[in-house]
Amino acid sequence: MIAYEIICILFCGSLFAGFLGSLSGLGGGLIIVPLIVLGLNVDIHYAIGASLIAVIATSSGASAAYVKEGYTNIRVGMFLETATTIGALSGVFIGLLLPAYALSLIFGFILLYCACSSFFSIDVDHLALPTDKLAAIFKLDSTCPPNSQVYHVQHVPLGYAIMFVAGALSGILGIGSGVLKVLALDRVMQLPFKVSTTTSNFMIGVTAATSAGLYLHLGYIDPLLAMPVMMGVVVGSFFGARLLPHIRTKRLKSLFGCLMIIIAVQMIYKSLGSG
Amino acid sequence: MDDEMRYGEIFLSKVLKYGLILSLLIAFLGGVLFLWQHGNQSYDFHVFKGDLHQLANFEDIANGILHYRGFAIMQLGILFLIATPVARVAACVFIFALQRDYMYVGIAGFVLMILFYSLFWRTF
Repeated sequence: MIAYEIICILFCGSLFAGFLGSLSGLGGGLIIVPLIVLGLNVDIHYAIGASLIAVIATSSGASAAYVKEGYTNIRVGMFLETATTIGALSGVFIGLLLPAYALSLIFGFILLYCACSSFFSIDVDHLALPTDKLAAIFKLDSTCPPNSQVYHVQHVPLGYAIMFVAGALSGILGIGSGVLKVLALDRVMQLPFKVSTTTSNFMIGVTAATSAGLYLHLGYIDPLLAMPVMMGVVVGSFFGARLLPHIRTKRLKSLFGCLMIIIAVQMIYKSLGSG
Repeated sequence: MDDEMRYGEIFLSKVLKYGLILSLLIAFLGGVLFLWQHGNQSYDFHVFKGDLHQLANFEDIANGILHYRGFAIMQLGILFLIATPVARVAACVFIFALQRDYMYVGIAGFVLMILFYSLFWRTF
């Protein structure tokens, strides 16, 4: 394909992906990889490299907006990043051993899981919980706005283990693993929902940067693909975040979930066809 | 202490914001230059070539930039983008040190070490 075409197609596609990603809260990585693999018929290894770059860009962009709200728990984030970064390193090396069709297959199933989980988001309040021993040792408990309410972090070991898996998946598939991270923070460790999402976003950038460094040295990150993707995603998610307060997200979320299921099935179908 | 943390957080978000803007600008300039130089060239990404493709290490990128190659300048922007979360973790180490929270200096320092390992893999 001609360079002009590649850049234009990728920019427009990523613009769309970033826009939908920030509206649905699922991030762009899950759509970028199928977009490049299915849309441009590019080898999935390149797609993963480009997607990691997009993930870092969205995470950095969103942090700037989130920080004003003051929800991020930096200690929890940093503590769990020891798990996600080691997971990411392992993930990259595991990914190297896997053939392209296996990667597409795993990607398809993860996408399917994330799509389905987007239909069942329950907002639970985690208040009046007992203090956890490990959480106290690592000073994980904190307060959150608006009333400086105190929250106690629970089930640290299980949360830590899930974070390792999230990091590994991020390294293997080039996604931010935001869904899994929020699952660990919100459901398992029982942080308030807003704290979970912002802390997860804080961690996503660092996890993706760990994988991206290795991918760069392996030759997976091609600027011809990564540059338009990173531009498109940033611009798209910027407008998505602007529009977010003005629309009803519930219907959009289910629409987006359906779209992701279709893409997931296509990824699985493609991998079975070539494997 | 919470105030310090809050101040630190705002500082951290600025690190990310300007890091992002800078890397986008560099990558954009590189992209324009690249299109001007190789816009009509044809590319095939169907089969992964890995290391055969250049620009997988810092030396190649630096060489390319010295020769005003758009490709290398785009890659520099991407390198800057990868470096922004690293800068953020480094800033965290610093903030924890200011708070005399040495356990977290250790934890953040460990994360920083892993990031350096990956960023400088096979470089030295």
